[in-house]
Amino acid sequence: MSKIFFDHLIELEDIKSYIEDVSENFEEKEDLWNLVDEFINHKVLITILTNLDTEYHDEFLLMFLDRPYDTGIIDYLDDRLPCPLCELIIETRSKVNQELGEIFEIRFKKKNSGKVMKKSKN
Amino acid sequence: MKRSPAQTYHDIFKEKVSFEYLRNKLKLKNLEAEERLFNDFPKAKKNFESKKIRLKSIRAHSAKLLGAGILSGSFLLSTPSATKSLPEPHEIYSYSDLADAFDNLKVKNQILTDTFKKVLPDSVRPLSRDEEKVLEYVIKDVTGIPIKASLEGEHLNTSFGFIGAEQHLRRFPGDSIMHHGEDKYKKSDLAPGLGAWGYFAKSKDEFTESLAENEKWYAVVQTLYLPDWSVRQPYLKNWYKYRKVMIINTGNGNAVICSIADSGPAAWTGKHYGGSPEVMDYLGGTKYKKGKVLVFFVDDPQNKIPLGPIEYGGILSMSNTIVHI
Repeated sequence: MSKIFFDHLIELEDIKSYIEDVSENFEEKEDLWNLVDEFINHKVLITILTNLDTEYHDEFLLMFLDRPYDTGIIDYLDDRLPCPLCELIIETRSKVNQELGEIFEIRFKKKNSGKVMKKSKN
Repeated sequence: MKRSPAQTYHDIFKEKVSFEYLRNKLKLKNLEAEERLFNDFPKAKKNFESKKIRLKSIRAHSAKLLGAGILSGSFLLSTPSATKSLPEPHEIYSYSDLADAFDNLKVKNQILTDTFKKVLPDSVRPLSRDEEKVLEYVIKDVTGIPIKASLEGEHLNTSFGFIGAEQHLRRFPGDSIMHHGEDKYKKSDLAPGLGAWGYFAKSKDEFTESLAENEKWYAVVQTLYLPDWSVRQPYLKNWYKYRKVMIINTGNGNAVICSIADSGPAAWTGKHYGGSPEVMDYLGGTKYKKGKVLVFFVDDPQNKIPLGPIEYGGILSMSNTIVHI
């Protein structure tokens, strides 16, 4: 069983296809999936704590650590955040997508530049 | 030996497999993010340390908690609105409805979709044991196929979730899309990498009709997120390989028997399962790319139930009738 309460708010399809293209075997793919997952979790947590009044930090963190899967945490946060969590996450998702996209694009540019060099030699 | 210009793919391949660059970049990003989190919010660091949990292992931690809840028969979601009051199967359909259904495919689908409306939550989430029991009962009655959410002590991450369209898998070295069934399914192309269990056969000579069916009707489930996946190896990997599951589109009742042949999708894709182009077509049509489904193990120890779409009523089994409730 695997679930974090905000999972359904995050969808990064582009990154998925980049990873598919980069990794040749499943172990590599899984490794990259987990690193992306960790990155998203950091970013979402930073977003929540940045926008949540400090007086609720301990309460929220305890809920998160005790029941990380519990979608009821969204209701808790929606009552205390300046705007609904789903709106905050849309912004975070876009930033995460951009940051990860930059890493993956660099990778692809490197690969493609190799192709071009070979062509020009021939 | 000098390579021909056509063999420059060797250079591209070399660059592709050195995924270390990406891995290191991502690791660095994570270290930076963790540092920012704990520097800006020292309370977060204190809470994580007091619980002896690292953010990188939060998913595994969640998995353990949820797994324990499922095993104990309780459901841990705290929101009361998340669980419906469950009807008994005889409150959903009558014996005569079921008898009529065997003469009419549409009605049988209707029994299933009506059941789903009454039993399933609006949003996808792991189901409680009680919810799974009702569904197991009704689906067995309608399809005649014995299904179980837990089989031989194993349970999927969730029985209710989103499925996404996958590409074809490479079945043996040298396999090409040209040999993957009907033309309409070739548009999906071959996945760049291999599935979690590698090639289906070591060579084309060892490739059998049965293995072809496994790829044609393959399913992807999140074995990588199972709470005990890393500690119960190689048992779990062997247990899940080509394990039969029934996938049911909760919107229209279409059901397919599939064979698990890959692990995924990643948690951040918003999906919980994947299906081959053929599976997705049968569930919802060629344009069906994502949708809500139920996934249950097929209890078929003698391997008699064929893979592929379910012909409702084709395998009659009325052992589950409401008389026995």
